[in-house]
Amino acid sequence: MRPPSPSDVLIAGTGMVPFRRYADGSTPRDWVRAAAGEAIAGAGIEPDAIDAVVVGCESDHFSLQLAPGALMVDEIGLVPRPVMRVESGGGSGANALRAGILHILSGLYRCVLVVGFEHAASHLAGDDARALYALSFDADVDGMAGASAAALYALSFQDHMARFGSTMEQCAAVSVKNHGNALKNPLAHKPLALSIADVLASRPISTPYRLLDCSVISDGAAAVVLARADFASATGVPRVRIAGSGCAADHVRLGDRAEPGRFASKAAASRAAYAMAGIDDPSRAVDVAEVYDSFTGAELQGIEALGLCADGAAGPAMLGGAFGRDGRLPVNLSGGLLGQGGPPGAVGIAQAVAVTRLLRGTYWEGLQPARELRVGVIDSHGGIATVSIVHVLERLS
Amino acid sequence: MTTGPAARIVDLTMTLRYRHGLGALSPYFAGLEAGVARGTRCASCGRVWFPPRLICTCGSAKLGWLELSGEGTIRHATEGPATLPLSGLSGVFVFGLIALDGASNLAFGRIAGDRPARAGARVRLAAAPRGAVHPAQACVYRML
Repeated sequence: MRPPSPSDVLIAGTGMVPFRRYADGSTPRDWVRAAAGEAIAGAGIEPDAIDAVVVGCESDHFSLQLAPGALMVDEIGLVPRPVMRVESGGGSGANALRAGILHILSGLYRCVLVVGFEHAASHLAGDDARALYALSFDADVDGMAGASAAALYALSFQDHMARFGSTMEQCAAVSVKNHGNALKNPLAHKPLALSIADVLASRPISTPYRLLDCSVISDGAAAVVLARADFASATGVPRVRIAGSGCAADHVRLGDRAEPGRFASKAAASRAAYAMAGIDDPSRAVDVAEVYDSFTGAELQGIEALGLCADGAAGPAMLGGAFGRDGRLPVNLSGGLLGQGGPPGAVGIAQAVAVTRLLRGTYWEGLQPARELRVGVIDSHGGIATVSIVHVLERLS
Repeated sequence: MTTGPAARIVDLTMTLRYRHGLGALSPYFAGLEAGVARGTRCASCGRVWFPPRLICTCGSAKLGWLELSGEGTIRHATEGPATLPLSGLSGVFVFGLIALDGASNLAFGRIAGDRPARAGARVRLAAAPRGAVHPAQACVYRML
C-alpha cells in the first residue's frame, strides 16, 4: 500500500439509511438529510467545507418531485453551493459518484458531497412502478411492445446459458449467497436464509427467472463525501481513494448487440477504470467487489464482464464458493441488490459506502473478511448493462 | 425512520395524457400496424436492421427503407405474467428475441401460438387480434 498523494480523490465520509419499503410516512428529504449528515460527520468536516453537491436520482415520477437537486441541496442546508442532478437508470447513483469525482479532478472543487436517493418501492403502486421501469429501455420499440426488466434480463441470460452452459442452479447460488449476506447487514431490505431448492421452487416470473432470482425495489438514500487528499481531515480511519473510474454505453436494444448475453459496456467501463488504477489483471488484483445483481444471472454476467474470471466461468465458481465471504473474491457482501435492496439513485453510492468500510476493516461483524483488503471494485448499470459505471477503490497506508 | 412528530400519509392520483410523436421511425410503426416488417439497409456495409436503425453500427447514416418477408426464427423466448403498457391487457405472455429472415439484428416481440415457443421455431409477423394503444403492440409473431 502506498501513502496518499495530494491530488488523490478520497472517500472521506460515508452514510446511508436502511434500504426498505418505507411505510412510515418518511420521505426522500428525510432519508437524504440523514445519509448526508452521517457522511459529513464521518468525514470530520463542517458542512461549510462542502464546495459542491451532486444528486443521483432516476425518476421524478417515483418521487413526484421534478428538479430534485435543487430541493435536496436546500434540504441539506447547503445553499448556495452548486448542485447537479445525475440520472443513468439503475446506474444513477454510480454516475453521480463519477460526476463528483470529475468535479474534483477538474480542479474546480476540493470537497464534494454525492448523495443519491429513490422513492421507488412504497410511493407508487407496484404496477405503475413496473410500467415506468418498462420505459427504461427503448420505450417506443421495445417497452410499449411489452418489454419488462424481467423479460429482457431473462432473454439476455438465456443467451449466456446457450453460449456457456450456465445453469439456474448457479443462479440460485447467487440468491442464496446475497440474501444470506443480508442477514448480517442491518441496513438490508431482504435478509433471507435460503437453500438452492428454495430458489428453484419459487414462483416463475419470466423464464428462466423465478421470484428469488429477482432483486427488490427499495426506498432509501446513501451519501459519500469526496475530498482531495490535501484537503481531507485526518479522522483516524484508514484512507480510501478512488483509484479508477470508467463509464461506457452499449446499444439500448438487446437485439442490436452482437452477443445479447454479454455485458460489453461493463467490460469497456471496467477496462477504463483498471487502466486508470494501473491494474493489469483484475482477477488477481481485486480483493472484494460489489456487482450489480439486479437478477441472479446478471451477477454472473457482471463478474465475467469485469474480468474477475473468464467468460463462462462465473457460474461454476459461484457454486464452488469462490465469491462467498471466505472465498477467493467476496462479491456482494452487503447483500447486493438482491439482499440489501435497489433504490436506483442510491445503489452505486451504497456500494461505495460498503466497499469503503470493507477496505477500512470496519464493515459489519460476520461480513468483514478476516484477511486485509486493499483493492475493491464497485459496479452498476442502467438498462440491461446499457450504461455501465465501474470504480476501483484502494486502501492507502 | 425518525421524522419527529408522526408523519402523515396522503393518497394521490395523477393522470397524464401525451400526444406522442414517433418521428423518423414512423415507417416502421406504420408497417407494424399493417402487419409488414419494414426495416432499413445500410448502403455502406449492407447490414439490414429490423427494428430499423437510422445510423448504422458501422457509422454510416446512408440507410434506406426496405420490406422483409416478416418470417423469422426464435433465438430466445421467455414466458411469464405481464401487463402490456397503457392497454391494461394482462395475462401470461411469451416474449422473444427473433431473427427475421434477412435481418442482421434481432427483434424483441410478443409471440403467440398454441405450441411452446422454443429457440429455433419459425414465426411470422402478423396483426394483433385486438386494438393497440401503441403501434408497438399492433403485431405479434405467430408460430408457423
